[in-house]
Amino acid sequence: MTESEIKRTEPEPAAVAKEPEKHVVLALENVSKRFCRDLKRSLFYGVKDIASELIGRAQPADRLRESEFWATRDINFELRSGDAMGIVGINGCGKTTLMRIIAGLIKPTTGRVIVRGRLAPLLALGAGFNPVLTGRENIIANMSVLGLTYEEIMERFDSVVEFSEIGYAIDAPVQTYSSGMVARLGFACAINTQPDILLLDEVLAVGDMNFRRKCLERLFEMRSTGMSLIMVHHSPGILMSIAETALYLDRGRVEDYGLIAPILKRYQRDLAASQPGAKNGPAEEDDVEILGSEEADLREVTVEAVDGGDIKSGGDAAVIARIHVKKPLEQLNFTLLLYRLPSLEELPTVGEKRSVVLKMVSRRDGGSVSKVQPGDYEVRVDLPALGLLEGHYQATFRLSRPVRVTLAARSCEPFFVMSEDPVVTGTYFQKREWSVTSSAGSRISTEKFHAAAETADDLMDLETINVGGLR
Amino acid sequence: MSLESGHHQTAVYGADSLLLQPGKLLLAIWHDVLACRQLAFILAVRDLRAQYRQSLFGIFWILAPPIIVAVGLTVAKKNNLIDLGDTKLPTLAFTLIGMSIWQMFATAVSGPLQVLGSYRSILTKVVVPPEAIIASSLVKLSITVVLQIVLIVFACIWFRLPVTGQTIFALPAMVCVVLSGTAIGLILTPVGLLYRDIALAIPIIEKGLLIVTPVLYTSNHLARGGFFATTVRLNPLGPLIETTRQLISGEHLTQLPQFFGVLGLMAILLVFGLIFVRVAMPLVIERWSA
Repeated sequence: MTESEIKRTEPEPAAVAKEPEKHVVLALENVSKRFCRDLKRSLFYGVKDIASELIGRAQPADRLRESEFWATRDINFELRSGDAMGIVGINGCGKTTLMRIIAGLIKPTTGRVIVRGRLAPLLALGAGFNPVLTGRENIIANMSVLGLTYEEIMERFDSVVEFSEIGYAIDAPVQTYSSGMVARLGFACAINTQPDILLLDEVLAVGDMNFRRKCLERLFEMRSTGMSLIMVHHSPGILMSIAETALYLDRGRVEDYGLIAPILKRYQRDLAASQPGAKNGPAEEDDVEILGSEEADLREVTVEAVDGGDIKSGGDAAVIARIHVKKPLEQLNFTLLLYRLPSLEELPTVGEKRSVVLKMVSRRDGGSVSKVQPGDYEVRVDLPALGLLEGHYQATFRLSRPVRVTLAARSCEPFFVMSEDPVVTGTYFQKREWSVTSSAGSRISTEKFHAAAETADDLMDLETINVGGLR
Repeated sequence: MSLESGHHQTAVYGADSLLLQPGKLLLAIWHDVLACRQLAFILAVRDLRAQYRQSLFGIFWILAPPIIVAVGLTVAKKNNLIDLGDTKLPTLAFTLIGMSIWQMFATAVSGPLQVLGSYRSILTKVVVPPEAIIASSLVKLSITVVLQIVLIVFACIWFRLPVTGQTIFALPAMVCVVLSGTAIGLILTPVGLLYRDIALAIPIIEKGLLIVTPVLYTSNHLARGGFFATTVRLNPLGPLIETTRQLISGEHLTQLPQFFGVLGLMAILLVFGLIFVRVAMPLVIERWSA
């Protein structure tokens, strides 16, 4: 199962141990919410709603009034203690609305939400910080708004300051803080309320890498003591490293609900399908697909393993481009770009660039040709001992002439690089050989890898990597 | 295992009106009013610090309005520009006390709307009992009241007003004035948080009310008949303000039964206002950010 399942086998308080079945801390039953797109009308409906609330009407009509739409519709799910759920879906699918309903900020139009225990909503970091007041004063106000007594705040004050790493500026007004400092302080306040349920809405997007890692580590720690978590985050990598289940929303409805990996996969696929040309489409501006120009055409770009089998990390591969030159060219340059594509570990979302893993330029490598006559040519780039890690990739080939005039650019079909490495930690594949030699010079035989030897240590190692987002 | 059982607090947010279970709602409000005292105090300290950290003259701004009106009217009366009637008290003391009481009332009316509006950024992100925020504005208001009292005490000493047994009741009367203002303010709050018209109208209506309320004159000085006199006599704020002033200045209490009648009305209004704000808040918050 997932990392957290493994963690949960650690000793827990006796009260929990007696009760092997984790109790439900949050339940949503047929929760729907309607919103109005027209502000004037929205305010008028607001007054009407208040009036009918005062009259004490029963269940409101399950229909839309003019200009209204369902922001969320018939949402059902349960969250048990220690569970972590991610919510995915494109902008406007109702993620934030759902979070706000769960937080109790807005009333569902139909259905109900049952919350058991203390819930800390972190829908915006440092919400309600007064810029004029010092960090110290804001901690007190913020945590008391989150439901702590003054005594409890004083007890936890030091750990908030320590976690947020702003001890040196604690008596300076918050308006002098950087946005990262404000985010750290907000996060530290929220988690130190020790909630039973934590709601995180895109709040880990701010702050530097180290702080983010620290936050993730703390979230893991808190989950192991039974805290439940619901999070909305744009990065599937972060979602995968924390949540084990996911709710996929589409136009307010639950499109899918279950284990996170298949759902993210499906969401990404839907996302790609909804964007015309996204599959082969270039994401970088300098990489617009131009199949040809008056001077030259790019007919085909393929990637293959030299031995004709699967493309493997460490194996020999080649990229082959078939070009057609129409006019004599003084000089012809080639550029080969390798992109890493959405895979389960690191799926870029809309607007996020495919990451270039390697850019190879013939001009620098001595691969350019001059005085090219019209005709058909095949350009071959050999890539011996491929250094790519397992995953999906795509290659874009570009023809250009000086000075940086692109004649044609074309991407190959996405390809998959296989790896025999069981667990890869790192950023590239290194072909290697191990040997152990005694001082006498005789070679000692080394052992083959056994899957059964995978100990808890290895798994812990994996978890640390996930937490750190090192993938 | 059932969700509702267990030692943890369980909250249910449903679509049904909270008023379908009025007993439960009142209990919840009562519980929050009691539980939120500390939060109200912390919020009040937060707001006051933020407010005065950006001000050079601080409390002067609380004391300025009644002093300016009192001095202005005194000068006007000295020059026979106006006739405030037989006030028994020196004009300066009379107007100072009247305006101080009126300012307590007026600040209390706009208090809930103003304070809940200023907590918008928090209320849209964290569930905070609105009672706590309203109470925090009352804590802030009590500072205004204390300063006004200091002003009034100075006026009493300066003009050698008699200190009688009834003076001691002036304080609870002022509390009643503030709570009455709050009750009216609460009724205006939910719609006022949606439409800015209410916030814009309050100061204008208050100016009109000041004229038809015996703040700067006494009601026994009025003519028998006429539209204005009738309006003043029917104005429920009259007994409230006049009785409080009479308690302070040691005058004969002319409107005690009416005073208690108005208090009863205001008490009902206060409870209703708290319920109103409580049930309306989630609906307001949803419109704020929709």
